[in-house]
Amino acid sequence: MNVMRGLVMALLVLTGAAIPAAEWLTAKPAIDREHAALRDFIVALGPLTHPGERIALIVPVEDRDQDTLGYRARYLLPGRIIVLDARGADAVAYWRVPPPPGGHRQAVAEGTLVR
Amino acid sequence: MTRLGTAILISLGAVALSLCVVPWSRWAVVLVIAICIWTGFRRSGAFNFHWIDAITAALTGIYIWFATRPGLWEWMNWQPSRRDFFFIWGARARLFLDHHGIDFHYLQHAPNDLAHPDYPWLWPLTIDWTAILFGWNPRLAGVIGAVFGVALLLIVRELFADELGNRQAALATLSCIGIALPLTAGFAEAPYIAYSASGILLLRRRSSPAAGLILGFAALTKNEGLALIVAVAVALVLVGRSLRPLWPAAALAGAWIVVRAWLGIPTDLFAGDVFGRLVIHITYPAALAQGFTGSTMDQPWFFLALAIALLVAVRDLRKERFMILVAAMQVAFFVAAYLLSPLDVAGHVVSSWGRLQAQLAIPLLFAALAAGRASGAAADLPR
Repeated sequence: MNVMRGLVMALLVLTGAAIPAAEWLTAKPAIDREHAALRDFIVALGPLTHPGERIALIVPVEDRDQDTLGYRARYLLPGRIIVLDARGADAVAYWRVPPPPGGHRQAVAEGTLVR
Repeated sequence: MTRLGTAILISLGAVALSLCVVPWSRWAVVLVIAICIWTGFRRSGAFNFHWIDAITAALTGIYIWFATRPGLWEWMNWQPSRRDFFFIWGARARLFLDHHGIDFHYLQHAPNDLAHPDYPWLWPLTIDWTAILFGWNPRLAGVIGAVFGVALLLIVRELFADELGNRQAALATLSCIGIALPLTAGFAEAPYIAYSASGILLLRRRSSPAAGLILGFAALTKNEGLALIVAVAVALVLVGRSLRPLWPAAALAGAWIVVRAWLGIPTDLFAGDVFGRLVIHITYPAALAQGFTGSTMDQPWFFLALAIALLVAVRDLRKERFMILVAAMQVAFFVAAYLLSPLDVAGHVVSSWGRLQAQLAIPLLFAALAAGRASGAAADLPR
């Protein structure tokens, strides 16, 4: 029984400490290259906005999932991006956030800033 | 050691919670930290150091290196596997920081299926007080997550020593490191595992209000913490113990539920036709089964070893029935949550089951080793 418990402890240390440590040392990113240009676009928007000002980002309705441009933009420029889904002429506020006083500027994903 | 780990966990939670009421300024945060240190940190008992503890410390250093790698916090490179930080926990922390407070407007208007506004605030607020002190740097989330893990390891180290002797305790603590310091740096897993496992373990033998407070912080970190408080309460009743130590947990969880209801932020599990979803998922369980068969564990080999440890100690597990009951009820709550899920059930299970299991790993490991130690041949264990 003592041998059994010793083996169990050895197994626990191997799997609970050695393997995780190997994972920390060897973890590699899954590079999301397809969105590199998108990232650059969003970052480029940063200097165009002023503190407290919000810009609206129009994304297609079908992109309404976790991988949307707008959802990512919120991480890079939090509080300064409002994501709208463009349903024809009257874009419905995606986050249901009303425009700030004085209205907001609009940007489209292709990189054109629309005032 | 237990006292030190408990003080660290309570202080981390208290400083984060204070941001709900104090100004978001460096001086206010420093003042709250000073109060926590003054009131919470007392002289800990002597620590019986073993050379194996040095390995644990070295591996913790490796983890901190991993968790502070600059690339790890670059969303473009790591987005597929680290989505929850970039789009939930980190995004919310940064949003609150820009807002100099909790952005209720955002929480009330963001759609639940993407932004999960019903997720508790304690972890984003923890990231925020480090940002108030040192400026916005996502890598601090990795460091502070490691501090949570270290606090948990300090607690389990002393509790294991009470049961197993010093060498076995050092080995058992070492084996917990992969769970206490998860690969998901920046997610709410590290603080939640620290709070939940510590709370359960501290209540195992004693009725400690500090454990109740820590369980309350668990409920303010992840929604699973609410179910955990219920599971612990039921387990305490079933083993014939008082519910009194849970009052801080009930107070914090109750406050969170009231605030969430007042803001009109329902959790998506209870939105819409709950009963209809339940009936459909029970009638057609194939999707649920598909999720479980398709899910991957975060630490599969460790869970295999844990299963073997539980099997070896199975005859004596009744001595640890409190923790076994808590774990069994938590699993039941997880399955119930899947049955109520408004999402694609198979996808929901696949994306979460591995992480949920990790939340219960340390209490189960403790139960297995403590019960094994309690068996007839225990006296021959090397110390």
